[in-house]
Amino acid sequence: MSGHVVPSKVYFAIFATLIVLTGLTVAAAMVDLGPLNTVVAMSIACAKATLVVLYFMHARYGSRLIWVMLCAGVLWLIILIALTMGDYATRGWMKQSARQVGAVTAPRLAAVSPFPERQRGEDRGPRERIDVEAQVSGRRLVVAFHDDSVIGPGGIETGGVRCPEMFGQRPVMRHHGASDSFTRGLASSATRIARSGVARTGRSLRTAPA
Amino acid sequence: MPEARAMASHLHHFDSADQQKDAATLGMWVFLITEILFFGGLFMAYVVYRSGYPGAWVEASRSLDLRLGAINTAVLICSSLTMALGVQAAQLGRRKALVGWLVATILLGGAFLGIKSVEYAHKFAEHHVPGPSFVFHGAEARPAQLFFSLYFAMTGMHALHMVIGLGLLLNLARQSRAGRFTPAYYTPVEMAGLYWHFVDIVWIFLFPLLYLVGRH
Amino acid sequence: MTQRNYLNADYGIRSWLLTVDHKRIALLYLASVTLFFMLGGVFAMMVRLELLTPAGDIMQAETYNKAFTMHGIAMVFFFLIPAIPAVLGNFLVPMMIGARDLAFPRLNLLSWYLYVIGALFTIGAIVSGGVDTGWTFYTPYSTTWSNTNVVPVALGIFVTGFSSILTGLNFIVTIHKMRAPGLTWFRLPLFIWAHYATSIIMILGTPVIAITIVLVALERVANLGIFDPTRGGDPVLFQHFFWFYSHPAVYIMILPAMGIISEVVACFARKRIFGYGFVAFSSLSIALVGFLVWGHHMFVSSQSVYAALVFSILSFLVAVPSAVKVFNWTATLYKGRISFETPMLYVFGFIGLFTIGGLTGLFLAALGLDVHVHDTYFVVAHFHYIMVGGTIMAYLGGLHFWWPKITGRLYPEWWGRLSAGVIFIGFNLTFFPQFILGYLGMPRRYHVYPEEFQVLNVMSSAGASILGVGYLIPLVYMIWSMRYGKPAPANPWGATGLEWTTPSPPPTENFTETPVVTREAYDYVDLTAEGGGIA
Repeated sequence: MSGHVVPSKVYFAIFATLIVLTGLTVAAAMVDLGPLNTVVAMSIACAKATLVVLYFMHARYGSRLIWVMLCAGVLWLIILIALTMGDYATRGWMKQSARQVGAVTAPRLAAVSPFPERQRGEDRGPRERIDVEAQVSGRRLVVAFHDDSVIGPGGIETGGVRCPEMFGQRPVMRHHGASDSFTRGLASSATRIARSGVARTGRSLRTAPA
Repeated sequence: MPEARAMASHLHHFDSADQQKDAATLGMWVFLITEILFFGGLFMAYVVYRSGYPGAWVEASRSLDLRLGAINTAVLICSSLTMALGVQAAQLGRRKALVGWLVATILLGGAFLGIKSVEYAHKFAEHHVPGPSFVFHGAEARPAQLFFSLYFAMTGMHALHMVIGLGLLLNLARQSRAGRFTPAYYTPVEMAGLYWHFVDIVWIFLFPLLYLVGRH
Repeated sequence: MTQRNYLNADYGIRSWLLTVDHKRIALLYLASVTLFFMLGGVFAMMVRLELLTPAGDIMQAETYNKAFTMHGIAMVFFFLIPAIPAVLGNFLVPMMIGARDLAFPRLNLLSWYLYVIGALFTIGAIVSGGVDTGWTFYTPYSTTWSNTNVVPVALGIFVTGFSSILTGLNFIVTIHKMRAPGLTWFRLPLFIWAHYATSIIMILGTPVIAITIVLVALERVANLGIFDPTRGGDPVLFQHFFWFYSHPAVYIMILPAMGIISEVVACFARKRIFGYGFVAFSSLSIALVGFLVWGHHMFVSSQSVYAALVFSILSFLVAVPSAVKVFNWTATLYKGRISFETPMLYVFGFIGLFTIGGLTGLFLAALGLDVHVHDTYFVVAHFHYIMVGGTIMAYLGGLHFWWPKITGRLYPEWWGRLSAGVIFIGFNLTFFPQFILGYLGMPRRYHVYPEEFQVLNVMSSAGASILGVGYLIPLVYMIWSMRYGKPAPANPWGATGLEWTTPSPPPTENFTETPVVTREAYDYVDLTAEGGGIA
């Protein structure tokens, strides 16, 4: 980059190429290539970006250090996207999703608290509550959140808007309790999850008859 | 020229003008890498949600104005050309050409922002802005709101970077007119060029990702 | 005898607030991070006071939530992340490579101002009600449900993040472009390698937390619904965003500390560092692999089990380079001529406590075990062993080690050793019981707990008060020494390194002539032969 002057011809040639590639990507988008549409679009975009980096940004005439840095930046972006998608792409692989745990073998816990004896003093009243559906099946506690639930006088009912499905599952939180501290673990997990999730500040959970 | 610098002068903590220029160039590239990761976060959210809601993505993308998007892409590519020619003019000591190319870049950038605001106005009118008054007539209306959240976040962040770029370029144009840059010292022009090209590259990726989903 | 040096080169508040001298900027940072350390300590005190009793008697749940949140924010973003790089790094990086300043002195000053602006935002938010989301800001609580000042604090952290980015940018360019003649990469002090690796993390990671904060703020303010489950968003996506930065952030906190340890160990064992190349490359490996493990914070978040497996394996791998360093430091000590000055006491503390913290990190990396101890005090103890037993110990050791160079004064050695001991005892009393508490199931972020946990909690709170006293003592004697301490010679420890060739304190331009380097790093054997030693 120390003063290498790129001739105008080169700039105009690159410019023309970029415009042609833009036209190409629009044209390709009009044709149904199935999954290849995205591949083609991204390849063309990468080609355009490379031309800009090499010629407009003078990376072609620059030092290797800049190249290494640039590749590192792109690599890190790939790491961010790839490992995150590694989570999302494999979520549906788990056979036991929330819906399949529907047939509960253990009593259904409504909102639970680790310290039932303290809860009574800290009731905030029925006006605002967390809506939690906690299902216990074997060693698994599944807590699902619902919005706009209706509170009935006898406890907590679930209903209202359900979270849309994504990747074959509703967004639910799972926690696995240990058998020896099972009840407390489950209870505190449900409380923790509920508090950190949709719960309003300081609202306590009510214990309902199981 | 009162503000022209002498030939090989440099700031006191550097040993030579070359070292200073090298350092500035490396510094600007490092900054651009941080910008790759900054925008990259938005791209990550895009990838996650597009793979989760492909249907909604197609419907929502189709509601964007492809013509305006394509025109904007061409406008930005033009502005990259004028910026590169501006840097070349600075390298060759052609003051008037430098100012001219910088002004051209500014005008093209302004045109981009103008077209963008027209698009935004359309989106507002169609109630495609996420929030309580969001309305989308499509099979998958709810996740479409995610598309539009990302649309506004990504193009908004891009537009913000363009506004900053325009500010930088205006300042540069002013300084160029006063004769500040010579073939021995034009580093700020080159650095602004790097920044401007980067903003162009972000749009090069935004265009197909936002406008060209399921157009067939 | 007052030679012209960077402290007396110019007077008046403007000369400090408008300085571009990296050494003065380092001192500006020193003042700021110390203030935030004390603020974070006040919040810690609130937390530990409440936890003296099982009942929630001192404060309500909401207030307690705010206390631990603000403790975390003040300590992580405003103390631990900037402290060593912005104080010791800013001061020493140019000096260690023989440069007159960093590559971009004005950017350096800007980075301090960004820190201050971010800090003011955050303090304003704290004063006007605080935040209760936890320093981790998990959605959807932080975006939808919390009624506290999330946006101002988030913006404060956003601005301070740019301070971090600029510091990292400055270091990278400086280390690449401004090394003195003869100073090849493998002659660099390991402190420089550590800061280089740290800067890589700052550059690549901080922008991601920046965009995360922007998205949270936009969701709160403009109703964009990226993390909103009712609109199809996934709250766990926030966790991916957040931990992509915040895990490498812990390496930002520990790598510079490890750089300090290398310098001090070599000096007080009078030996060159064993396996210099391994230690240098381990810093880079930690920086790289540290970006691949963030999912270990999300094992119970409904993340895919397969992704969790991958993250678990990678988390085991990331422990290897850290272990390599510990082994190399130990090997350096072997057959060295060890002396126990204050910085060395902190080093010993670091090596022991960091090892415990690091090993318990492996416990947490194991999926099965993490499920039981996630969100318990086990995790709290683990990260405090690393951040307090590790980073803060190294920071104090480094401050003491380079204090003569920075201020031109010697601190009182016996007070130094005493407070190192008090800190060590106080620290272990505070945090070791927390391992046990966590293993027994006490959850974190709760202001109440079952009665059977009280004894351990009281021990922990008692330890915290001792630790607090231990931190106050150096504050007092170091300030005292700036005026009344014995004047320091150029090289009181007989250490190698270019910074010790300058007067104490150094002149503004550091070196009257650019040094030419012909020696390898840490050539202590030669120094001893020439009669070098403690002045």
